[in-house]
Amino acid sequence: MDIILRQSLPKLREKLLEALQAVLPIVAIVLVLCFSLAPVSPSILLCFLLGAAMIVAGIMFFTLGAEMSMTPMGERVGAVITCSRSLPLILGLGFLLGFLITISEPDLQVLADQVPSIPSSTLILSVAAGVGLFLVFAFLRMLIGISLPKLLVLFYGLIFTLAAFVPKEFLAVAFDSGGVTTGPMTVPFIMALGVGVSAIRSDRHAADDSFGLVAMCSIGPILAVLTLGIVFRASDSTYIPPVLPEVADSVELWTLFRDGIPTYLGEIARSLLPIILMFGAFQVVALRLDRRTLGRIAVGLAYTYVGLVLFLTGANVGFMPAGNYLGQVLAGQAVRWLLIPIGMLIGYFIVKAEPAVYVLNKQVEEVTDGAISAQAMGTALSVGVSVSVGLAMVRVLTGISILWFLVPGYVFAISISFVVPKLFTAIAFDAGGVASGPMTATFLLPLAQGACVAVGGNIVTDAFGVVAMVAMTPLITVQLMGLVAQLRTRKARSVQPAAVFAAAFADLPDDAIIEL
Amino acid sequence: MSSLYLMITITHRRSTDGFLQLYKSHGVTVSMRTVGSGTAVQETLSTLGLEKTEKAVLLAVVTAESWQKIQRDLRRKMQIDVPGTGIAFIVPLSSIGGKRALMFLTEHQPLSWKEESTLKDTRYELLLVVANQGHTGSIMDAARTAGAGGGTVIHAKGTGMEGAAPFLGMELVNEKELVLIVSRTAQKNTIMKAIMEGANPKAGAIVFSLPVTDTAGLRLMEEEDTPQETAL
Repeated sequence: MDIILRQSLPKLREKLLEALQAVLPIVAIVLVLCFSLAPVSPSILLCFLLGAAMIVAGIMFFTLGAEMSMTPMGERVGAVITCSRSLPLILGLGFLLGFLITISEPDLQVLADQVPSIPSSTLILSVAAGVGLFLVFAFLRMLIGISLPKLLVLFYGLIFTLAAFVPKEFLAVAFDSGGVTTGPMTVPFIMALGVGVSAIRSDRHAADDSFGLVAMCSIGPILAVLTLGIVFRASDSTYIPPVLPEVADSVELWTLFRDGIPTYLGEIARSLLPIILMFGAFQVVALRLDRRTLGRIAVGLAYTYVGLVLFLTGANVGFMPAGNYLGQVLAGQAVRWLLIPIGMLIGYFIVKAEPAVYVLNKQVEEVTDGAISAQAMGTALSVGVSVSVGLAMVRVLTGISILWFLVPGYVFAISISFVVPKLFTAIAFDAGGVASGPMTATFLLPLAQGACVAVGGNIVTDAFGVVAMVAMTPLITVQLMGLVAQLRTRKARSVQPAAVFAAAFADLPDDAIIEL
Repeated sequence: MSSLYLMITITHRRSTDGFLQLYKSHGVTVSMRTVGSGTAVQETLSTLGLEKTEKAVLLAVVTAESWQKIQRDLRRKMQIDVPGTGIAFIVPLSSIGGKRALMFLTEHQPLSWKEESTLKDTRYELLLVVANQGHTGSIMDAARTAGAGGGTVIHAKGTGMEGAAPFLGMELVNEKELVLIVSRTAQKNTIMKAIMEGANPKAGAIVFSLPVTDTAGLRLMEEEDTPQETAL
């Protein structure tokens, strides 16, 4: 027992360090703001700090669990359905997987509550069908070998055409839905599915196709919500302001968090269940993994569950009110434009605390054999999110329509996708769905909403859309990183080897096998 | 015999860049890298997911002269002898296809032609096990009963006798695992036997060994009688 404890220390220390590195910068920024520019009530600050502690523990457990459970599960399932070599089976299972995973996503319920003019069940079912359908498209794309940029042009063209017919008030919410529905549970699983499909391929597109599933899956919800918006002539979406906590003593503080935990226990259980059931069915019918592997996956699932519950409780109870209030106070200052650089700074660091980002970075490192390191991905994402939060704050302050940012952004992202190496395009469009996770929803969105309240803007049109921005900018930064990497290797390649000891082999023909 | 070697380095992913830089300073400009994972040393720990297993594997061609210097620097600068830092070892090459390739691989390294055999009594051997995906557990169990320390697993694809099977726009192959185990020459045969007999038949394990001429980072293994370290 003693030896187990001692030997597990290095790994635990590493995980703790990772989690601290992810969360501490954002805590530091908020603390500095609270002590200087933005006076907040001690109860909000305490909630934030306790929330941050829970998030650190949550990220530790989640990252540990995701690589033990979600990644192998997705990879095995992806490999085994491709192995079957039956088109109807692959497509049928693809739809079922996408549908079931999405329908149990807790964020979808939140989205449904925001648009009262569309019946909740209609919205949930059609978004889930959208994800299922696009997962099918994504599989078909890999099987037939259509390049990703072409499909992106097609579908994003369709999205922006539809957007022209949708009421202005509804646009931001519709675009947010794409980022929101691909949550921390589904993203690692769907991503691993793609890697699994590619793992048993030997053709030259295998590595390029490892990614791109999440990219396709985030298109489905946007299309579904836009279509529903046209059909139901939805013009209103509501904004429920978060309740700012007022705690008198430490017991009340704890009660606040304790009351939040059961909600997330239930939510996460519901969203984990379909994945476990699907995997169980696969295990019985086709996979037949040995006991040891199953044991690891089971322990990993337990970690993932505990991690996500802690994370979401901390984020929703602790971070949400802090973000909202900070936004209000900062925008209420005399110098409002300060909101933009502060938002950018927060954006730069907050994406590191997004749980699914960690999984994406690891997978990228694994698939590219370490050529794109997790750190490089992290930097590209940070820069991307930083820019997007800056732009979102500009929108809050000025009230410019979201299309002014989204249309040029996507046009640029898709047009450079034809020159960027395919692998980077796929990773970039996945990263969009990954970066816009629960951290964005519980801190950045409330920040924008709070700021919007203080400025007196229209929350529904101006504050919403943060998620859509966060989902868009990584497309550009990650692809640019790929472009730079490509240029660098080209330059290196152009340096020709000098014929140093050519003389020693001058008499040998060029294609001689040289015995050493 | 050869004065050219394949140098294999197994280390943590974070230290990879440091190693690559060191090799570059010795004129080893062409290195291939891939990612692998260490095999479980402790069953309970592995099930709990608390073992550090992520590794990087670097492959490069070195000449005898540059290996001497690299080995010295690995010990001095990278402190490779501290357990858990990493290991590096060299396997002799027997021939190379074309002089352009030879020049490409060794252009910045000192290379002299010696007609002597360096393949004397090698103290270590590199065991390579090729097996079907998902069976590393049973292979390492078998290897450990014969006294093997630890191994490193690299994910691989096997094309098989019949080649890749086309399916629409893709070509499908089998997933394989390549397990690298460094063992003492004295133990090599028992470990190989143990794997051949003890591994799950479904693994379809093929095992063979390569001579390891020199090493760095295996000092503990040299000094202690029971090789229990090298989780690498």
